[in-house]
Amino acid sequence: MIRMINHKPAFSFLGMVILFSLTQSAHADSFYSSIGLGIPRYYVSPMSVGMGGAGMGVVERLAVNAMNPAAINVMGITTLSVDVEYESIDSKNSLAAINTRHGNASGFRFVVPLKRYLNLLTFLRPLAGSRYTLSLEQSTEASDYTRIVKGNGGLNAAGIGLQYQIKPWISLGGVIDFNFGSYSEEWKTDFVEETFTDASDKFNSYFWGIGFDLGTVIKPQKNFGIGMVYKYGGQLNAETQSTLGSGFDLGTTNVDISHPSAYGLGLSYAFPKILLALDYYRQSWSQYKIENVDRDNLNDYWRIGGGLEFLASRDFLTTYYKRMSLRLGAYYAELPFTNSDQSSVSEKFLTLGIGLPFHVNSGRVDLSLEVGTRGQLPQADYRDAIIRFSGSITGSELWFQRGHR
Amino acid sequence: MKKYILAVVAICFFTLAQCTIDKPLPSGYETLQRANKGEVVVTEVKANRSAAFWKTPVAGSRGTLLLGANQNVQAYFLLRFTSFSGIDTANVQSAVLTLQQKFHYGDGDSFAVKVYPVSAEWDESTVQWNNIKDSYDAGSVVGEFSVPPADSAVINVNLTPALVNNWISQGSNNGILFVSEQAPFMAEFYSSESSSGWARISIAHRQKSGTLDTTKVEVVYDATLLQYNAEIPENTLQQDVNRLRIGNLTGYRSLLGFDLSQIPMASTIHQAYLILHVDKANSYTRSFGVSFAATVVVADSLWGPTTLKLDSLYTSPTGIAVSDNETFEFTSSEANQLLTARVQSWVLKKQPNYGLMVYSGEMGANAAEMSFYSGIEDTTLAPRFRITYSLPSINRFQAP
Repeated sequence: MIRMINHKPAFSFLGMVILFSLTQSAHADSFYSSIGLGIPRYYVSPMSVGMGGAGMGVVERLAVNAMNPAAINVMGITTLSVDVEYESIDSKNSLAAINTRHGNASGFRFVVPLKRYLNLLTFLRPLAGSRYTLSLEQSTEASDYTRIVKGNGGLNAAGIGLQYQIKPWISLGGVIDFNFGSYSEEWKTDFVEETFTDASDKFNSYFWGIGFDLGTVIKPQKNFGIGMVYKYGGQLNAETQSTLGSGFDLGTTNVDISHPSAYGLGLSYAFPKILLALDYYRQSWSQYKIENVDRDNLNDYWRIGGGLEFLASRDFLTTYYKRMSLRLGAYYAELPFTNSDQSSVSEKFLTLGIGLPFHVNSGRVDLSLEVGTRGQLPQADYRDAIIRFSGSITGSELWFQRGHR
Repeated sequence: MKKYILAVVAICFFTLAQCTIDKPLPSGYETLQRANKGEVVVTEVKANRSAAFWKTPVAGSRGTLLLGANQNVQAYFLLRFTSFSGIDTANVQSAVLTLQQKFHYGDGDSFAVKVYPVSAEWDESTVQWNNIKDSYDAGSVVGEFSVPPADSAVINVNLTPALVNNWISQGSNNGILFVSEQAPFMAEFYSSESSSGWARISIAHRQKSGTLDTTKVEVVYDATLLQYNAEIPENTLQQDVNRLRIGNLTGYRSLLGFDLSQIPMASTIHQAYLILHVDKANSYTRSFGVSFAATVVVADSLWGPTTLKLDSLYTSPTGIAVSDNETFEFTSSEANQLLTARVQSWVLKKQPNYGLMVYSGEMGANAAEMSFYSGIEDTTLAPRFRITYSLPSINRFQAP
C-alpha cells in the first residue's frame, strides 16, 4: 500500500519558472553559437560540473543525472534539482576584444520513486544554445549605417522516463525526449542620417521533435561504476516565421533537420573519501542536415573530461565542514565548428565545485566555477575566455510511504 | 520550504534581471557563415513619365491679398466687413479704408485701382474670379486709389458713406471688389489671416444721441481672385513637356511617374530621395522659397486633371524650393520618411503606382513660380528618386 503523505506546490511552481526561462540561452555571446544549432550543451549533474563534467558512471543520491537515466538512485525519496548559470565571456580577435555576460535558469530534474527499484524521471535540460550580436559599419554616399545581426535561442529537451535497478550491479534507464526550442534572429540596418528609415528583418524559428535516451550503469565492484549512454536525436521540425521591415510576407517555411545522435562512456571509482570520474562523449554533428543537405559543414563533437570529489564524511551527524564536498576537474572538447581557415574549434576548461548539504543531508546546494577558453588565436576566428558560474539546488521529500503487507 | 523560496528567488533573478551585457563582437558580421547576408543597395530611378497642367488656385485662406498683374496673371481681391455692432445708426460722415502693402512683384509705375460693391454672395474658401467677374457693376465705383511700386506702404481709400450706411442698416453686403486696369506689377497686402496689418475701415458717424464718433471696423472675410490668361486652357494635361512647373499664381502643378520594377518586392526601402533640377532662368521665389508638396496619386493612371484623385489618408511630404538653388530635395527627416513609406507601398504593390503630383503648398499666396527640367531634353536632368534599400538575408535554417 502506498500513501501519499506530502506534496509541495513549490515543486510544480519551480518547474513552470524553469520552463519559461529556458526559452532563452543561459550563456553569454559567442560567435560560434551562430553556426548550426549553436554550441552543444553538455550537462550531467550538479556534482559533475565541478568535476570536469564527468559523472555518467556516478550514482549518487543528490546528483540527479541528466545524461544517464540509469545513474539515478534517490533511495525512495522524491527529489527535485534546479539549475542556474551565469557566464561572462571575453571574446577576442586580432582587432578587438569585448566582454558579454548573461545568466539564466538552465534546467531541472524531478524524480519520483514508483517502487523500491523503479523511479520515474522528468527533466528539462538544454541541448544547444545560441546568443550573438554581430555588426558591421558601412556607408553610402549619403549616410553611414550599421548592419547588426542579433541571434538568441536554444534547443531543449523535456524528458520523461524510467530508471530500474535490475540487480545491485546493473541499472537501466530509458527516456523519451520531447525536443523543442526557438531561435530568433534579427537583422537591423541603422542609418546615421535621420532622413533614412531604419528597419529590421526578424526570423523566428520554432523547433520540435522526438528523441530518446538509453543508459546503463554497471558496477563490477561496489566502488567501480561504468556508465554508458546512447542518445537518439531524431528529426526536428523547424518552422520559421519571417517579419520583414518592408512588410513583405515571406510566409512560413518548414524544414526537417537531422538532430545528431550521441553516445558516451563514463567510469567512476570511489575511494573512502575521494571519488574519481572520467567521461567520454561524442555527438555526430557531422550528420546535422537541413532537408537532408549538409549546409553548415559541421564536424562531430567530442569531449573528454575527468575530475575528483573529496568528501570527508557521509555521516550526517558529523561536523558541517566534513559533510561539504570539494570538487576539481578539467575537460577538453572539440566543437562541431570550423574557423575560416577550416581549423577546428576546441574548448579547454578547469573546473572547481563545492557541495553544501542542508537539512541533515536531505538536500544540497552545488556551486561550480568553470574557467576556460574556446578557440585559440591566431588560427581561430575568435578566442573566447570564459568564466561560468553554475548553481544548483537539490531537495528531497518523502512523498509516499510504503506500507508492509 | 525556505530552500524552495530561495531557489525561486534565484531563478527569478536570473530570468528577469538576466544580468545581461550584449555587445557586437568585433568583425563578427564579416565572419558570419551565411550564404546571403542581405545587402544595402543604392539605385537611381528616373521619372519615366511626366506631365503638367494648371488650375486656378483658390486663395481665400492665404495670409496675403494680391492685386495687379504678373506672369500673365491678373489678381483682384475681395473684402467684406460685417462687424458694425458698435454703430447704432446709419449716419456715416466718412469711411476710410486702410490697406497695408507688404511687397510687390515686377516693375513699373503706380497703377490705379477701382473699388466696386459686389452683388453676389461668396465664400472665401471657394471663391474664384469666374464666380465674381459678372457680379459687379463697372459703373458703380465706391472708391479709387493708386498702388505704388513699394515693398511697404499704407494706403488710405475713401469709400462712399452710402456704401457703408447700407452695410450698417443691414442692406445687401457682399463686400467690395478691388480691380486694377493695366497694372505693370503685382502688389501684396496683408490679409485677415495675417497676424497683423489686415484691412480696416475708420468710420466717422453721428450716433443717435447726436454725438460724432469714430469707429474702426476690421475686415472679416477676404480673398484674392486670380485670372490666368494662358494659351493652354485650364485643366488640360500637357504630357512630355520640357519643363515641369509649380506656381502660386498660375496654379501649375506637375505629375511624375516612376517605374520601380527593378526593385525586388521584398526590399526594405530606407530612403526614397526625390531630386528635381531647377530651371533657374524660369523660376522665381523670394529668398525664403516656396512650399513644395508631393502627394501620391491614387486615381488614376491617365492623370486626367478633373478626375485625378490624391491620397488623402497620409500626410504629404513638404519642403521648400528656392529658385536660386540648382536642385530641389526634401531635407527634413519627416518628409523623407513619408515619401519613403509611399515608395515602399508601391514596391510592395500595396498601392497602385500612379506616381506623384508635385505642387505648391501655398497657391495664391504670392507670385512664386518654379520650373524644373523634365529630362526630355537632357536625361541627366530628369527628376529622379535615389532609392536606398536593403534585401533580406537568408534565414538561419533555410534549406540550401
